Amino acid sequence: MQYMLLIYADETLTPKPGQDNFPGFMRDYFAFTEKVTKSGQFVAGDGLSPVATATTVSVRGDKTEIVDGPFAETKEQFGGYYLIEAKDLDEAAAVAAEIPTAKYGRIEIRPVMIYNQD
Amino acid sequence: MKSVQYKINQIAKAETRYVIASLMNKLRDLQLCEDSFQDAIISALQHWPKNGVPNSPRAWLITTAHRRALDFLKRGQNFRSKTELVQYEIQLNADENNLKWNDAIENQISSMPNPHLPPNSEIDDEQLKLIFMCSHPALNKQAQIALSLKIIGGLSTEEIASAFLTSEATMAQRLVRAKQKIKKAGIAFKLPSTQDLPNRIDIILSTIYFIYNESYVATNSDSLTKVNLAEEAVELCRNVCHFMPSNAEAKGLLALILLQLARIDARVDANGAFVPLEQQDRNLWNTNKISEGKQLIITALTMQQIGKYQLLAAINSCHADAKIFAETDWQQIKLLYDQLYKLEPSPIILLNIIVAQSQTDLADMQLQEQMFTKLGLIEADEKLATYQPLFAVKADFLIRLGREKEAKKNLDKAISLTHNQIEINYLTEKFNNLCLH
Repeated sequence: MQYMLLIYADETLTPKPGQDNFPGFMRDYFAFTEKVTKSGQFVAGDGLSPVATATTVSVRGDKTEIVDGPFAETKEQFGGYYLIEAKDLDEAAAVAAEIPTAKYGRIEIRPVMIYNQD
Repeated sequence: MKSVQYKINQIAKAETRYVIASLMNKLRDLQLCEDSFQDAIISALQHWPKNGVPNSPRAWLITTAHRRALDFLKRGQNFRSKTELVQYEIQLNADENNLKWNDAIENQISSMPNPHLPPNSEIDDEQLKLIFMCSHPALNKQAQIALSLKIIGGLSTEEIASAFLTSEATMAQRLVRAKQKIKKAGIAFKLPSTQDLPNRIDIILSTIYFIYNESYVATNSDSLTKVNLAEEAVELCRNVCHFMPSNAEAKGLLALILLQLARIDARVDANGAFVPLEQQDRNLWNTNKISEGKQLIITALTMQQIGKYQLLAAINSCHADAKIFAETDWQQIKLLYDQLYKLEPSPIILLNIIVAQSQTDLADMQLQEQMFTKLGLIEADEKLATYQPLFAVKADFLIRLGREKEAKKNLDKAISLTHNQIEINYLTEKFNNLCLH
């Protein structure tokens, strides 16, 4: 079976580049990735850009709604994911709007973190 | 010296959007673009007082800002790839027509006919991209407003903060977040797809209307009107009209704002007290704004793309046409609100329909009773629960119907929902007048 491991944390507690605890934090992640890769368990994984970069897409009727921020409805549950390649946010939002669940749920778009970028 | 500085500030404000758009086309990093533009302005402040303002300040600023950007990129370690940087430099060199660059000859650019301004259609495209980027739906409304005023309007962070009655630090943070979102979420500097276009234009117009309304209501402020934000909204709207000449709603919005602004001097009397429409001295209405607004709405309506801003402008045009309040064509206004309701069914528009219909014959007590009953049917709507005009309107009906005690209760409620001191004073005076009876 395949399992998706979702990483939740208070963003303010996550070590950031330049902080003393950052190198150790990254070392632990590299070690973990290496371990699950060697064991043959690794399929895919990425860090996501901070929640401030989130955009939410939904389709109601024939109207696509794009809003700033993550979805915040407690009665909605995480149900699946697609990792896509798109040249910009508009293109990603257009793809998101075609996901069937967008018609009654919401699709949160988060850019995959690119390291060594300001 | 001082006058040159003033002139440079004026130029900087007007040229912000042209310089930033030119930079964004190459750099895609709004913060970097702004920093480079700021550096170019500092350079202008050093050179222009000595050497005079160049023939084309825009070309001078664009050339200088691109050079500054290149310097920033060379110094920093955060550029994406060396190849991109080299390409950017090659492009700049080509653009400058082999002009050898150093500080000593910076002012020579001014004597060149047209150093490297792109053709007009390209500039138009860049300007449109900038307008769409500032009002991208993935930014929240507050960010759209702040960015539009900063980047397109060329206002300083301090000016925007004071207009919105927040601290400069808060506004600066809002702008930084917006710029980060653009960069990190991949909001592109491009024109929207044909499919997205109508919705994207709606968002731009709503941003402008928001800015304008902020100036009109001046919530929490002692002065009823802050003309600056209103004028900024007019400028932004003119800009949108210029770049989207085939959009009737953009013209409708500009007409609406001009027709409302035309009455601004009549809205407050010599003592600073609020003057309602029916008591305004119509000689104080600005005839230039009215005629421009009317011309715009006539042009817009012939384009046959009816929309809410055009309808609201047409309603305001009815008021402008009446030489005295008693001559107002309320029948026409009611019909326009009816059309508006078809586009946007909301209890607020129903309230306006009721008011317009009741105004068609104030002496007809049966009509007044009828309309008051209608009002009773919509007031349960929770959208109106804290809507101040509902209670002010109810009070007016009750005064007309001779039910003063109930009128006072509604005025009291209206006062409690108002934040603007001048409007509070007006409603309080109305309340006190009732007590005299």
